[in-house]
Formats: sequence, structure tokens, C-alpha cells
Amino acid sequence: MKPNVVSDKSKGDGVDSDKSKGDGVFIKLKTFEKQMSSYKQNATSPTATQTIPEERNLSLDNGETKAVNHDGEEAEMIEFCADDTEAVNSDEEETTRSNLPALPTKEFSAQNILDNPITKDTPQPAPRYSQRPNKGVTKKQYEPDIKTNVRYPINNYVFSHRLSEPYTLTINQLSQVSIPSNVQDALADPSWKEAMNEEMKTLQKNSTWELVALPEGKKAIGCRWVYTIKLKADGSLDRYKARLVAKGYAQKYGIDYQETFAPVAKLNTICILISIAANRDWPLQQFDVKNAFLNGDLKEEVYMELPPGIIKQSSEHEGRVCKLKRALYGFKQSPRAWFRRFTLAMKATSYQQSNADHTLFVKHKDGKVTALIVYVDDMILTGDDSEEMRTLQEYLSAEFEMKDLGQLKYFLGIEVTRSKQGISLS
Amino acid sequence: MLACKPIETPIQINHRLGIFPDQIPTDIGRYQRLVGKLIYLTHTRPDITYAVGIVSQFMHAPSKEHIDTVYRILRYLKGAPSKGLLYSKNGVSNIEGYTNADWAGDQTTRKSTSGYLTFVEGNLITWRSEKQKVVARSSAEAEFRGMA
Repeated sequence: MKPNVVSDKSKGDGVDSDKSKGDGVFIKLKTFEKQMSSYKQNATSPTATQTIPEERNLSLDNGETKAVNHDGEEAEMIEFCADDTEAVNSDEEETTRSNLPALPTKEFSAQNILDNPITKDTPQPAPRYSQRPNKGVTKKQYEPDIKTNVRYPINNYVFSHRLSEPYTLTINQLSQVSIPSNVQDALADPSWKEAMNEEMKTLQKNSTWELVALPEGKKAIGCRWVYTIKLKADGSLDRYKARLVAKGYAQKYGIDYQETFAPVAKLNTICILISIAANRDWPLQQFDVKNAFLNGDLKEEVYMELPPGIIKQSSEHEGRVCKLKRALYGFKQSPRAWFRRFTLAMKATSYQQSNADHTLFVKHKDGKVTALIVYVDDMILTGDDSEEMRTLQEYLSAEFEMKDLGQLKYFLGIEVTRSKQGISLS
Repeated sequence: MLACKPIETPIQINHRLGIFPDQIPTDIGRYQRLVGKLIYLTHTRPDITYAVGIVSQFMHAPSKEHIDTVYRILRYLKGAPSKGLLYSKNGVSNIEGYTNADWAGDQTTRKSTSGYLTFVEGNLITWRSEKQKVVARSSAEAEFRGMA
């Protein structure tokens, strides 16, 4: 919401990285050297002329696929599909494993950014050098760039030196960690694999699907993994996140889904709630439901292919598909399924759904009021009945997996601060 | 844009913006993205509601003049950063509404623009500035429509 962000974005497309071209090679060398020493990959300290060929060698190395039969990983992979699989053929587990060094740890990368004033203040030079020996030869598109880990580092396009420290950190962090685009890349990295394992465990705990043979005339919908990195408020790396999403675009209306509309809270209602809370000194609490959509029950019969990365070779699992019992991210009806589930849960504890805004639930008890408003998976709880609020919180935590975010601080990108004078939104 | 000078007001008085056949077009995608962000910003910045309402009327055919108006809003925001809504304890428990309208303010269609704001318990809850749907034949009619 800060104006300088808006204006900076508006500038984004026009920015040219020519400014730093003069000292481009130097910077390149500097950052490269740093990475070299920190990853302990290569003991040689390259000179300016050596830098480029050296880097090319490395990238070639990375591109090379090595068939590694890693038993440890496989054991882990079986772990979460143990009930489904008896025999897993290990041949297929040969994932392409690059010798890309492990991604920098949280402390290291934060430190690296702080210690490296050059990357912070100057945009990275465009990868174009006059003294490149193989000038004119087109660079292979899929060569992983060891220096920044991403193909289009944001530093090439956005100046960060005018941003405040947290924003700079965030932007640098974006360039530090690469996000894998397919399962093979992700499986090669322990941190991503762990994230995938975690997601699979959640799905299993929710008993999201059962394995069945695909009935005649039905179509299974594909699915894929989506990877993101979660950053903390100060821009440092929080965690790796993998999410299994269904390819909802393959769904057909009337067959795989019927209704898709799900209401979200109106901003006006939220404003009124905050105003009332300010006038009566009610506390405002914020909650977040983990994996909200996974809680929704599917009414339709939907079949999905097995998640990629889990290899089932035995004939028993050949042609098996997942019959979904719970909703998954990506399906068209998921938000609706989740909201229906949530409404039922709220009504079960005798909360009344407001007719003006269906996302508002109110309970009157002994002349005291408790109100809860939900925006997909974010909710605000307020009222003057602290006991009832606690009961509701416990009830909801039992029903869904909840995260207590404490006092309302940040909602839909709006910062909420509370002082003696009142509540301010900015 | 980063080095721009802040300005006191978000939009010129009597801006006379409209869509003209001889206007110089501008990058439409960029314009729409920028105005979209400003629209979201109006949720906590009622002061730019009118200006944003005006520039969002040209989303389909923005000209250089229009994007300059958007830049002016950004300059205004630079001069008045970190503002927001304050919800305080006022001790009043009623709902109040205010409205106002101009007459034939739109250059091309001569429709009127009206605005309203409502207070619940002394705190600003909703506000809007919008071009009326029909052409008002008198300022009284325009005001009346603004109320409705």
C-alpha cells in the first residue's frame, strides 16, 4: 500500500540495466567468486578472463544428467504411498540429479545479501559480454545459471537501491532461490522433496482420495505440483512449499462440477465490524485455516490421475486413479465446497449466517455478541463474549487445522493498527 | 517517476477529461494495471476516490492526457503518504449519509457525477464517486439521483 511501491512498479518496464555495464564483469566476478568459495565447489579463484569459460563448464556439468540410484530418497517416497503400493520398481526412480549445490540456508542467504553491497545496490549486468570467446553462439536455453539460480533475475529489471531494507531483502531473496518447474528438478533437491512429503502427508491425513480403477466412460483429470517459497515479513526465507493442484481447466461443466460460486466477505462488512469493535473496545482476532480447500467435501464424482513423482510400476497399480473424496486446490468447485463445509460447521454450533453478507456469522448469547467473518481461509473474530470466542476457537481448531495469528494486523493487504485513539487502516 | 515532485491535489480542477477522436493513445495494459492498483488503494484512501473514479472511466481507450492524470495521482500520493482510515470511539450510535452531485460534468456524454459517504457510529464505512447512469436535465435532478 505504500505509494513508493506503486510508483516503482510503474517504472519497472522502462528500466534499463545499461547503467552498470561498465563494471559489469567485475561484479559478475565478485558474486561468482563468493558463491564459489561458499559452496566449496571449486578451489580455483578465477580471474576476470577465466570467469566466463569457467561458468560455462559448470553449467554444462549441471546440464548433464546422472543416473543416481538413491535409495534413501526412494524409501522416503514409498513412505507416503505405503498403503497403496507393495512393490515399487526402483528403476524408474532414477531422477535426473544435477550437481547444483544445495540451496543456501536461511542464515547464509540473509547474511550473503547483507554482506554483499554490490548485489544490493546495483542491478545485475545483462549476460552479454564483448570479450566472450564464443560470441555469436546462441546460449542453450535450459542451462541453469549458477550465479543467481534464476533465468531472469529481478535485479536486471528493477532498481532496488531506493527501496527500504525489507523490500530490498525480498527482491534479493527472489533471485536467491530458484523455483523448480518440474518434478524431476524438485525431487533432486532435499528441501523441495521434504515440502512435497509434507503435502502428501496432509493429503493422506485428510483421506483425500482412494485408489480405484477408472470406470468406463469417465475421464481422469491431471494434476501437477506447484512450488513456491514463503518469505517472512522481513523478506527472509521462511519455508519451501509444495502444493498438489488439479488441472481444473480440464473439468467439464455438468460432468465434473455444477456450481462454482462461493461468496467472500464484503469489504464494507469488514469495515463496519472494525468500526463497531473500535467503538466498543472489542478485541479483534485473526485466524487462518491451513489447507482450507482440502477440507471441502466433494459431492461430484471426480477422478484424478496419480500425482507425478510417485512412481507405481506394479501391474496392480497400473491404470489406477484417485477417486476424490475431498476437494483439492485447482478444482473449480473447491472454494464452494470449502465454504459449504465451513457454513455447516458454523451452523452446527448455533451461529447464524447473516443474510446481508453470507460470510458473516453471529451468535447472541446472554445479551453478548460474537461475530466471525470469513474471507476464503482468513477469518476475523470479534465480540464481547470472551468465553464464547475461546470456545469457538477450540471448536474450529478441532474441526479444521487452524493457525492463530493473534491480533488483527494485516488483512487483504490492508494494515490494521490499533492505538488508544482507535483503529487505523492503511 | 521516482524523482517526481509531490503535488497538493490529486486532480486538476475542471480537468475536462474525455474521449476525443484525435487523442494520442498510450499503453493500455500499463494504464489498466496502474489504475487497477489505485482502485484497490481507494479502500483505505478516500481522498483519491474521485480522481480514481475519473481515470477509470477511460480504461478502454486511454490517451496520453489520461495517463498524465494518473501520474498526477501518484504525485499526490507521494506528497501525502501513509494516510489511512481511523476508526475511533465517538460515542455516537447512528448511521449518517452524505451525498453531493455536479451537473453534466462529463465532457462527452453530459452525465452527472455524484458521490456519497456513509458513517456508522461516527466512522466512515462506505464512500463512492460515480458517474450517473442517465443524463440529468437539472442540477436538482442530479442531486436527487445522487441520493437514490
